[in-house]
Amino acid sequence: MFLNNIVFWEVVLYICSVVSLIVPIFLLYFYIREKSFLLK
Amino acid sequence: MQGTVLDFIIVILYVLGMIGIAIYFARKKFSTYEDYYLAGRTLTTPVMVGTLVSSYFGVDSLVGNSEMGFSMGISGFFSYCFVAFLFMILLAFFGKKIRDKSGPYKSPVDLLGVTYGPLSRISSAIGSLCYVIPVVNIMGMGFMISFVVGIPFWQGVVLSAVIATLYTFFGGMKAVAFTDVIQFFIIAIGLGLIGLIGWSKLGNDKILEGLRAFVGDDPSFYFQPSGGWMTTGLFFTYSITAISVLCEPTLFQRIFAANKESTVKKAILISAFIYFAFAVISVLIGSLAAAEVGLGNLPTDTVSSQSLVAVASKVLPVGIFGLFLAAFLAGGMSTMDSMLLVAGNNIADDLYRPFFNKNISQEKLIKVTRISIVAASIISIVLSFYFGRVMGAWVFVSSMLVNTTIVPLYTAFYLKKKYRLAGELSSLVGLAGTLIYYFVVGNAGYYDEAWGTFKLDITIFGKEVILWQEYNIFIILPLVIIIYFLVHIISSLAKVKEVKEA
Repeated sequence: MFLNNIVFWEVVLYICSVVSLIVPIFLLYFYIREKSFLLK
Repeated sequence: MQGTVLDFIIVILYVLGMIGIAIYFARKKFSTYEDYYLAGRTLTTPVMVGTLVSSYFGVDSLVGNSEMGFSMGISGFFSYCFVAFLFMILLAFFGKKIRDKSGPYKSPVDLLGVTYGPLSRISSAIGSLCYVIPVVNIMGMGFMISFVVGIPFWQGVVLSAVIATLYTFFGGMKAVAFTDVIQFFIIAIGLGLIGLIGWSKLGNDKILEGLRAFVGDDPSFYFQPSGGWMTTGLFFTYSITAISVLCEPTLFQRIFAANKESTVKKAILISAFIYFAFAVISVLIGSLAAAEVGLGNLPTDTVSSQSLVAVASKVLPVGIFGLFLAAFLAGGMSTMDSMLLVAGNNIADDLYRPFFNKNISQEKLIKVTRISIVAASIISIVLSFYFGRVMGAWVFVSSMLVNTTIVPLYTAFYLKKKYRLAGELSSLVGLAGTLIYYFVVGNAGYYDEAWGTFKLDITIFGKEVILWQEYNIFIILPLVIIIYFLVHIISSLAKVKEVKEA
């Protein structure tokens, strides 16, 4: 089965890592747009 | 110390930043308790995502996941994290209704107390408190700081507790949410980098070679979801505690603090997928550490709980390793602050206010909460020196939470007709049942080294049954459900007065 393959998990790891690096950029964009910094 | 001077400077900068935030909030005044504990119910979607993920994905997740990846591969992800992810998706769909009903309440315990009465309040407050005293987290922080900086365990424990307590004490939820968001950025970047750099640096062939040398056998089980060991029964046994996601006090506190209902569903759904990504990375990096040990790149005496930091120190460039260490601290800090804040509320607003000082002023309530936060922090430090088995502690606290809270809480949200006795009895049976189960299995049973848990052999109708400590949710929770609905039906037939909605 494809789930039992190191290559499959390597790809999943890279996707997760890229998601992990991209998400902060998106969130930062929304913080700035919504001005939701809480430090008021 | 692990790493270079630059790495150390980055860690110090992070610590100073957290102290700076505490100083900033020390100058601020909060007009109401809701402003202090729920940030005035102003959390927007991006803030909620940052604070949800970083408070749920703590140092215990980082250490625990990599530990499982180190010894059993990807099956470590499927035996807990995957189920927690599914429960988060479920919580996202409940979230809207929960926020809608949260109206005048500040916590699930408060809601249960008002809906079902004082017995339900006390039982669920005890269940919640057991869960949010951050012993497991503080121990993880202590171990890691002592490993990285080379100071004794107790100093690591005290240092991390003091910093998290400082800004939570002064800034309440606003400081917690603000620091959580920063900590979320650091964790995400730290994990993302180690996932990309660590694995590609070795490559699949070398990793398989290393794992073969590490286990001295065919390592293919490292990449099988069942790992060759997980039967359906064991899968349910290990993943059942993930049901605690559905009543996790720090997640609920965020739901109550959301600015509107629609924010909750969106934020929890996004957070669930980010949690999924973080969990996969931390488990697979644990497996990578095992391969590095097999190849001789890491010492053979590398302890599984230190596998993540060991790999990070090996593969990450100077400076980035410092960022990773900061991410590690951030993971611990963001969970600890959330738990301390909820613990403070449990003591002050859920117990002290209704039982001892109903007309307490907002200012005084904030003061009592702050004192409670310090008390919870001191209790965590003391307990962290006495708890031997971390996993055992986790199963106990999550069982206490689930068995005392989940049934009365969801019936309060979803049932139109509610009866006080049903709620009170179900919470009480959940509390007493969990304690009795643990006492009996722990005292009359034996400790199984191979599975790392207490077991008790009993005979039911001539059939031998082995009760694991982990099985208590399977036994107590159905009992709680039966009692709730039995009393509910009897009360309905007897035309007992229903509970009025607040």
